[in-house]
Amino acid sequence: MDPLLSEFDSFVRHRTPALLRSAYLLTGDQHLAEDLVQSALARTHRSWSRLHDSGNAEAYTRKIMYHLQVSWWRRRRVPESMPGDLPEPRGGDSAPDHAQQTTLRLTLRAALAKLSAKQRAVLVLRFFEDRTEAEAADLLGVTVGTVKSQTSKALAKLRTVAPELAELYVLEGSAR
Amino acid sequence: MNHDRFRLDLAGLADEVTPVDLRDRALRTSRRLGIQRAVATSAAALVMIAAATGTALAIRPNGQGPAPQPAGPSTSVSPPPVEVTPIPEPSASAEATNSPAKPPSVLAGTRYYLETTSTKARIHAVRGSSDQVVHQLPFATYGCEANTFTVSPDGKRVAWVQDSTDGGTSGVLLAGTIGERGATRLLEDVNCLGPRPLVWKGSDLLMVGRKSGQSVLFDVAANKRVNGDPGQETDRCWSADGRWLAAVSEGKPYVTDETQSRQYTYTPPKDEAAHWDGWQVRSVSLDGRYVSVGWVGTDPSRHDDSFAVVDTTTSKVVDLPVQGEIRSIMFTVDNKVIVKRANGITVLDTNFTSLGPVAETAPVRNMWLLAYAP
Repeated sequence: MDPLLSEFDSFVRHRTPALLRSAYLLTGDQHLAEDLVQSALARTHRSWSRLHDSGNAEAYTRKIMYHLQVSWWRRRRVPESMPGDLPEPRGGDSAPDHAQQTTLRLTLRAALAKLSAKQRAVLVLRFFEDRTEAEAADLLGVTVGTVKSQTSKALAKLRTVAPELAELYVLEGSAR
Repeated sequence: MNHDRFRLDLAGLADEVTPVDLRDRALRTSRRLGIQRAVATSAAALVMIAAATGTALAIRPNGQGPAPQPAGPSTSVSPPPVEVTPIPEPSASAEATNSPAKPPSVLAGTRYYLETTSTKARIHAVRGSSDQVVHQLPFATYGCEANTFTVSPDGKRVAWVQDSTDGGTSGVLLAGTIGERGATRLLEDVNCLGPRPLVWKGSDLLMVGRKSGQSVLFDVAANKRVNGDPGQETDRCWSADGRWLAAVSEGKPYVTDETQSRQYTYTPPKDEAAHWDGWQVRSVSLDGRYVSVGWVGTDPSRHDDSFAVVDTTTSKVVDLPVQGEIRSIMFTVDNKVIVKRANGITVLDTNFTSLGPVAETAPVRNMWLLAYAP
């Protein structure tokens, strides 16, 4: 087998699960996440000859993924299933049961779906991938100031669209 | 906000995604991007030459391709955006030439697969080593079409919901003949969300859900609704001949052929069940004894997969003689069981004895198997 293709295969098999996790948070849908990662990997493949020994393949793929997501979001509607009335907060419960966790995840996903693609991207970069503001800015191709303002707006919107989530986080935070 | 808790919840949400192998899909997309780039480069070069020589070039279709379409999105319903390729008929002479050294396949009929991308849904007809795209729906936004495109159990009809403008949740139900242009507009305000929004009863009747929540059984052949109350939900599944129904009543699953009815129970694997929003029947054996079951996602997208077979007479899971990850299990109209695995197909008889494997090409492995017509 072509050694370059073999290296690319190895990269895809090792990094796809992690890429899919981020893509799922960005899109909220398994199939859209697969499409997003697939498209980003395809572009990585086309540049593989210069990426393979640079050590930057994953960063490049993620950068493509975030850019594609923002541009896709502008021209496509993502069907969302709202879980009906949002659940009542149970802030005093430090060990929520499984059903409650599931409800919280549904609420969080519905809330994330109400953000713009860029707002969702900054939250995923900052709080899921634990990127610094500078790293997030570099990946998104924007200034650090934009990352700061988008993060602030995104968190504010989350508090608005899902106040029970914000309340839960605040209550638990104050108990620490 | 407590950011640590927020981080944990994001990680928990990300755990819902199912890991899949995207290697082949990525390579196919890469090739397509390469072709598009080459075409664009050639076109640009042509324009440059034309400009340089002052020659007016007129590029015309060759008479076989589709006529040029006006720019911009189309909102018309009829005719719908359908692209078709004739279905390949099996050639007796070709088989005679190729078959002497080959044992006959355990699946001699045609398998219909669904391939979806962000802009297209394609039906592939796979017979032996032939793989042809027989129906294709281009769409502007990933939504109703990709979530509903379906083939009847006899492989003759296609149906889908054409996206309307209410946020990708409903649209117009259309049906046509596979491999032929055109489609008939059947019903408006049809729901297009859920693991299986369109369900076939035999090959003429289609169960759909209205936006209002009402279920409708539609006779696609006669282009009219079937009278009577079809029930309040589409969480049901018929055997390939439309005789046996698997459904749920007051939380209890049952099978019936309208002369007899049998309740059964099934408890899915607990650890995995935690990632899903429940299970439902995806295929029913011709005698109504067995059902294959698949997960219902917590998102509203389709799931044509299944992973286990339940004996409705004993409520026990059948031990299937296959190794590795199971992607779907389908009971066919000619009394076979097609078990689609990550690396190919295993065909079983009605006693779940292996009849043999069937190879799948790499691209087809990642598509959904929608129907098998002997």
